[in-house]
Amino acid sequence: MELSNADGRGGSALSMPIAETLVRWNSRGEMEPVLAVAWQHDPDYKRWRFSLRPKVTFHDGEALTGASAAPALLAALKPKYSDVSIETGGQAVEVKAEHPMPDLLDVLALPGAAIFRKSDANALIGTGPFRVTASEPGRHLTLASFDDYWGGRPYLDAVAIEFGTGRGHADLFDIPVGPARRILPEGLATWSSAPRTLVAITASNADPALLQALALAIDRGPIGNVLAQHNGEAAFALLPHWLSGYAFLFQSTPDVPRAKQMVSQLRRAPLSLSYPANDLFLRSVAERVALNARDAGIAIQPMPGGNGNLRLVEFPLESEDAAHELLRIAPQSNPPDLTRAESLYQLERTLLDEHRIIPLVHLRETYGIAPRVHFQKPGADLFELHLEDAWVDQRAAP
Amino acid sequence: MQTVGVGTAATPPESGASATLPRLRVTASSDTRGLLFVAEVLIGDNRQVAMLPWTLPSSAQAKPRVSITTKILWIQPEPILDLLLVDSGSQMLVLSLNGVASYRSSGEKWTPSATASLVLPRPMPRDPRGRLESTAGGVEAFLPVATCVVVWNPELKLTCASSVANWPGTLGTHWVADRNVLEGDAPTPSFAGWGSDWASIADPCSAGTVGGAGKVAIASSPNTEHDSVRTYLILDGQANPTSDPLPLPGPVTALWEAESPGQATLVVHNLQTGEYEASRLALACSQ
Repeated sequence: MELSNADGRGGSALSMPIAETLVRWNSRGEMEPVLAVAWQHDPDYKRWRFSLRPKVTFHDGEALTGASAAPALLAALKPKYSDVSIETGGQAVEVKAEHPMPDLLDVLALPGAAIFRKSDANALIGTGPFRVTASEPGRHLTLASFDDYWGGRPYLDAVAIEFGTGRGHADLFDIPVGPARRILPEGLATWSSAPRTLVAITASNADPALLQALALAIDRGPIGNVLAQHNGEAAFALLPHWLSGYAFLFQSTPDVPRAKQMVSQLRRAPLSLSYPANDLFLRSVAERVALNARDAGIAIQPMPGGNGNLRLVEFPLESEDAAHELLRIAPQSNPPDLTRAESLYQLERTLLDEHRIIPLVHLRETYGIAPRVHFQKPGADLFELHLEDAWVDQRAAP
Repeated sequence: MQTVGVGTAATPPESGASATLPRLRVTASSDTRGLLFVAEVLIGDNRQVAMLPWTLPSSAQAKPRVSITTKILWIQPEPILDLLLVDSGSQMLVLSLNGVASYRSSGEKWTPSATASLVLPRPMPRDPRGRLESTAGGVEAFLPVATCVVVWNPELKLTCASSVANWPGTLGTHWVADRNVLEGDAPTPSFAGWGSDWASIADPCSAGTVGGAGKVAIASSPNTEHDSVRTYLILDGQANPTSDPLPLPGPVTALWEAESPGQATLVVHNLQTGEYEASRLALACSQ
């Protein structure tokens, strides 16, 4: 199977598991076992004990044990818990720290906490259904199925991934978000993720009252419908509605007269809005924002690259944990308990009322799928497209 | 599905007092965990919000006419692909990923008698499936990567060929090589709420009626990790439930029509124990 990825933004909704984590969030927002089959912690959350799944091997044949998992785990946990230590014995892993680690499972579910090993020839030896057979960073990656995968061999024998190219003859290819209109061949199926990348304006040095006026002036509808060609939804909240369930509470319509009135009472300082230099989509968004701002009497200069006092930033979701994602967008030094939807809403309300971040659009990721490509559970996961569940009908034309 | 409800306690605008009277708006929403009721109390420009997660209760149903009973026949740590009772139910063959095992009936228990390993031309695909079928020559094991002849008397033997054969008594139904999907001339029904496993068995309520015994479909339903099974009568292209859902202790990994009429073989991966449980499902008419 051939796969192309033309957009540097894309790719995160495509699951190509090479290395796996101890645990993961499932589609219902519950933690479920992957390489760990059981875990427990002491009342203070300072000591966690995990039992690793038996009979799991890395791609080079080495068994998954506490000892073989520990180096990758320690490297993943150190940035968050500086005093963390790991003890192992057989299939047991004990994670200890002087400070409580109540959110340890959240951290372990992140892709960055995947268990992998390195060799001179291969920088990524995991336990997942696919193993790396060749790679050239930024250009291509070749995967082969891992016959001894504990979850069952994938249907595909091999996957060739080309980065930075158009569709070509690819069986699966990303359809980048952008201003250029794309006409897809008839019969081609597409898959779109749930909205999963927030595009927002962040402010490092601007009057919050001016930002409040700017937020009122921006017409978000055309950003999702026209600029993103319906691959995005207007965002009034930081978390997409499918994840939080309450995003509609933030919905509003542009109110240019009120924005104008607010601006008239403020000292008008020129603003610059920077965006990644080669990103045509974000450039079109920046220009659109500048246009809306001008209607309200706010002067904004779009600026490729550089360091404007306003920045257009993307926040791709990396999990289905609403609390974790909100804290990634807006880190808090002392976050409240966010297990209840109401407390999550209150924090998001507070963040938006501070007017240091203005959500604009939540983007979907869309892939074109050749007719000969099938998925075992199409549509079962709104968040990711699982390559390990794909197969190619060899009798069908590419 | 509960509908979105909106309630207001506002007085008409001309009363002049509407700005101070509280208004209540309740919205049925959902997040990744399920339903979420969001209540907004609006007083002038102020808004207070309360949220209540809610699990959908089972919908009210008419009294079901079919009841499902289960009897566990075999439990083991390795995945069970299928199970077949032979020699008038005195012997049991269990098809697993690694081979076929035979068991002898001794009262209510099954005693292991022999095992034969599967030597396959290539590894099984993920989510492996397999079927044991009585054929004219004995028993055959149909797998996505091979077809094997099973002989259990006088000793258990497996002879496999790397080809996918048509299932006996079907319209050319066979595994698609290296995948866990079936291909055949007969269309495969699929309805909303059904999982990937279903079997067609005799309808216990239609026996003795004009036209003879009809068929009902028994299908798995992937309701979170803990699947359920339920019977359906297919009429006019619609699947009409005829039983209550039977909750199971984990996901269904196999559901086949059994060798005995009116029964099905069900395999569930019990998430509590981690073991695979093969059961016999039987239907009874409760009308």
